[in-house]
Amino acid sequence: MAILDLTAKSSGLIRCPVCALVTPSPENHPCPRCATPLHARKPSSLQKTWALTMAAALLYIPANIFPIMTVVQMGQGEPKTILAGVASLIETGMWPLAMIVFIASVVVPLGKIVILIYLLVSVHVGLKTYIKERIALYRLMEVFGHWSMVDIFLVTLLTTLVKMGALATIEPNRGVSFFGAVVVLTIFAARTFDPRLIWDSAHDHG
Amino acid sequence: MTMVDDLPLADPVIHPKKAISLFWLIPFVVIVVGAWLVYDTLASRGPLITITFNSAEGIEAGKTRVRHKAVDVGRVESVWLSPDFGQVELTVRLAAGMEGVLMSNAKFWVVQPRFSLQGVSGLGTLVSGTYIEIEPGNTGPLTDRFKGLESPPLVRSGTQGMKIRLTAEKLGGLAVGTPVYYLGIPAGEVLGFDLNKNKDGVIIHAFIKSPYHQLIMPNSRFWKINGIDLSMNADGIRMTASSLSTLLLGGVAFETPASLENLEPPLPGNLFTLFEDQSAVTDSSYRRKIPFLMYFDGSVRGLKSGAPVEFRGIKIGSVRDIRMEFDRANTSFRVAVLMEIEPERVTEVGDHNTEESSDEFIQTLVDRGLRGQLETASYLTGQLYVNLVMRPEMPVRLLGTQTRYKELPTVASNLDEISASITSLLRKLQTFPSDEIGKNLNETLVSLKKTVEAPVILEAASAMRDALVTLKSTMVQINGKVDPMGKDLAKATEAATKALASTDRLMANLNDLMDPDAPMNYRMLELTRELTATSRAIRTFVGIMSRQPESLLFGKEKKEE
Repeated sequence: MAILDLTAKSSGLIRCPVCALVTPSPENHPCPRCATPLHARKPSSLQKTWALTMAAALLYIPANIFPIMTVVQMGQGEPKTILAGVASLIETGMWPLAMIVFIASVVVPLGKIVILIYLLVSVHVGLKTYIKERIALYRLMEVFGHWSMVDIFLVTLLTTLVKMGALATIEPNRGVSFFGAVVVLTIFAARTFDPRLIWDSAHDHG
Repeated sequence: MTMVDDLPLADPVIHPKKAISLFWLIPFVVIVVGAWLVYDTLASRGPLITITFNSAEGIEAGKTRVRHKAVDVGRVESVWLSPDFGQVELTVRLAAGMEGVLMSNAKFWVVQPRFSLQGVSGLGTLVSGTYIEIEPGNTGPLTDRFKGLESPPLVRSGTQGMKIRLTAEKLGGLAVGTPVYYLGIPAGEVLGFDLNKNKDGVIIHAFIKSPYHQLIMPNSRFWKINGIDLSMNADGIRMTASSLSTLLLGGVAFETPASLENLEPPLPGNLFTLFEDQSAVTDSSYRRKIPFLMYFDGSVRGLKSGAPVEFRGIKIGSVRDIRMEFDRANTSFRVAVLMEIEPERVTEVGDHNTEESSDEFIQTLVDRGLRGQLETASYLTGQLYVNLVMRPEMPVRLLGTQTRYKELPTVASNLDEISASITSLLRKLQTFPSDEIGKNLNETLVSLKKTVEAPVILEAASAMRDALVTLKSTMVQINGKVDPMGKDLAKATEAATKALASTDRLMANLNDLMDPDAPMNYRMLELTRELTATSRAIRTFVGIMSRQPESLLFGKEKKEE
């Protein structure tokens, strides 16, 4: 426990996020090597993460309500939302594709938002247990978070490739912008969140 | 640690920690954008309406669009059955701005491929799928419940033209889409039909396209064109056939007779009469009609409603109705025939007293012997017509029943008259007292024989013989006196013979004189020739004189040719 209790912050040391120099510097002083302003913890991390998470959560609603793309095949086609697209994929029997789209478009962004909120709340209440698990969750979120852009890639690629008039045409709809904003905001939220707060809060309240 | 302390440090600038991070602007912006989106979505949502159809064939909830002039203006949100399961109710969300067209006369119909005699439509929906077409309303109260049309309306609101209504006794072969022709050009279509208020006739709605609608005037006449028209009436058999499309579809034709009146075009929806055929139109052009009632005792088999009423072989009216009446007072049947006389068929000549009403005028005619009579028009078909005759010798026979129609006296038909006279003759013959006459004759003969054999007669006969004897002796005496007179006569005859002989000689001389070989005759011929030549010379001279009077002085000019 003693080793675990010992942190850079408690030792008055700050690690430069740019050049990785560990110096005993007061808060907000420039790094003696690269002049980067040094902070023991990311400043206003919780506020920023909350703000970004809230924005992402709000944008997730229109991203699902509005259709993301229109597939016109043989003159017939309707604008489809993400879930409707998944449903139509299931209808046509394309289970694997439906699973990929579902995970990338629904599970990952939603999971990120939920995990972020869980982490934020846990920091606020000073949860002392599951510290390692929470760190693992944070890493998982960072790794898989990038993959939620699959949908945006899909829409942009198809829109540019499938242009065959009434035979087959794919058009993006406004939902895709909201979805893109959700993905970007969650990535920023993950970046502004300082995982060190997880154990800070555990110690402070302990 | 000491190393760090020894380092020359800049004076720390302490910023007061911001209470609220600027990052909160992001969710704020998101909320603002979200609120705007909600507002925009709600604002762009138009009215929600319900349309009922008989069937939801081809309609899908959330997919089927509502279009107007190929522009999407709404979408079917749900398809469900009406509470009584008799119809289909579609909930349709229209685009914003469509509230203004939801008048009660807005029309909705499903556009599907249609194949009919009039043509093919809606082929585009084979690829794009069924959609609902809306025709915006323009009158009536705003509503949100509509009854969808099962077939597209024939006339779209944008089409220039005029709607008219036609009254007819029956629909006949007309159907929705039946063309309306003007001089054989399709100028419109029948839109639909329904019963009139009294449920005893049909009102046909039709649309006349532009520019033909300008041809419709209050005096326009409409009639049906039947594919094949075969009619048999008092005039004989008549058959008319028209084009193949009319044969299949039937049709309505119209014309606007030239009129001296300055007519205003009628308002849309004006009512016209639809005649059964073109000849009915001609009949109807006589607007003034005087109804008359006539009672006939005999059979009227062959007399039909519409049979002509003729006067001296010219149609002046027609029979309207035929009814059998039973008179309980004297237990007799009679046939009442209602006819209409069109006085406009007769051209009036000379001054006419307008003060005199038609009733008085007819009464005058009746006084002068106007009677109605049934005549056979065609022995082939046995059709009858009413013939008006002037027979002042026939008594005026009127029943004087209480009707609103003026009664015309009738006389039996010619055939009836003949048969009646033969019947009465036969009846008289039947009652002829031949037995009695024979008996009387016999008695007369017996008494005659008695008379002849009477002694007085015998005496008379002998006296007669004496008288004859005396007459003979008298004649002998007269004969003796005649003889000397005969001798004088012979002398006179001889003298006459002589006179005749001298006359004969004179004639022979004359004959010689006039003979073609006689010299005098030749001379006369020569003289005539000379005279002819002379007269020709004079004519030539006169001709020259008239053309060249100067030739008298300067001589005849030579012709230069």
